Amino acid sequence: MPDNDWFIATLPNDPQAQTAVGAHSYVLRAVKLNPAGQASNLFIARSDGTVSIPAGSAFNYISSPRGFEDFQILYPNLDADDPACFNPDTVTFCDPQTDPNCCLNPTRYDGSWSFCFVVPEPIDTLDIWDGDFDYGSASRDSEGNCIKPDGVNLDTDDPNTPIPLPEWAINTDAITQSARIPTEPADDNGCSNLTVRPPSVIYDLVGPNGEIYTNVNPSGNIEWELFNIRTLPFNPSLYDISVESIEPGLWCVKTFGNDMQNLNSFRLPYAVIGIDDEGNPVFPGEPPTDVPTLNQWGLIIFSAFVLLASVYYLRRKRVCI
Amino acid sequence: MSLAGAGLETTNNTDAFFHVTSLPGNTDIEIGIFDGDGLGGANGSWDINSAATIDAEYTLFLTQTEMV
Repeated sequence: MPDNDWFIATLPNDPQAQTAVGAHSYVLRAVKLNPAGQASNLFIARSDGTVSIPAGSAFNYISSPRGFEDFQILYPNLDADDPACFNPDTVTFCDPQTDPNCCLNPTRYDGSWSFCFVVPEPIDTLDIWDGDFDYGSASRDSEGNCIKPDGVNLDTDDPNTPIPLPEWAINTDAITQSARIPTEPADDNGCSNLTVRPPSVIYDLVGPNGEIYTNVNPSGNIEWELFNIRTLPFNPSLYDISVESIEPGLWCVKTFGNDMQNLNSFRLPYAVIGIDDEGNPVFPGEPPTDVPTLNQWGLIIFSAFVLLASVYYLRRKRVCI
Repeated sequence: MSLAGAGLETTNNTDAFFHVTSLPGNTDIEIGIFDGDGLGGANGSWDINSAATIDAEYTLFLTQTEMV
């Protein structure tokens, strides 16, 4: 399988996998052959059919540039030899938030991700589990010292996350939910202009009618937190938001402010569906758009570099696999 | 159709699972994996077992990568 390129396999459908409606259903399984040690590997999966993450399956996402070439893709104007770009004495880059001429402008990663699923019928509870978001900010003081936490954004003890760990997280690296201060690495990590993406990470739960429910304080370090909506009177010890109804249709979790090199996790109650060539979610049972042409491959690979930089071995953070 | 952002499960399991469906009427299924090893990276190489297993699974094998 080539590095930083698509590996394509075309295989005949297996009659044993045929469903009642004439489709063929498979499980694509990625296996870590040696269970010892911790590792991460980033990839994009595609098909001329449909691809989804099974319901109730925890998954991780990260933007993880590893080498200088990766950062050059993310920052086309990056020039580490330019003292206006990078100060070797302080080992800091210019601030793209305050300096429009900073070499970190523009960037191809805006810090946002989106994961969508289909609710098939009206329900009374929608549970979203977010894990290891590392919500909690760090920043540099006037003398350039990194202050962590800086007290601006801090993880809180989430009142409706059950104690102890949910059954599916037992015997993992996850720890019991509490106010995790500081987080490691912090998000926002304002001590690194290279990897930070303001604001401190949050996410919206967006319903089929455009309704938006925001989790303004997601999980801290190596913990899971429950964010949920219910069609019952408000009770903060049981759920976050009371709603009149939870309609069937397309729901999306849209995250903002995901710093680079900070792994986050979700566990969603319905299968996370893939997107077509235009970036639109593909509903189960519906055909995606045509298989990409050669011209479209370039766009897809470009997008892949934006979303998925490289394998990165997390030095300062535990990776749960 | 592609699905970006999937990673290994946040558990101590060694496997990550995806549900892949070939639409009715298709005789073949095309599967693509974009490997983001990093430019010229030699770590985390992948190989695909092109044959369907008896329970109709396709399997990707991830070679062991070490923390550095």
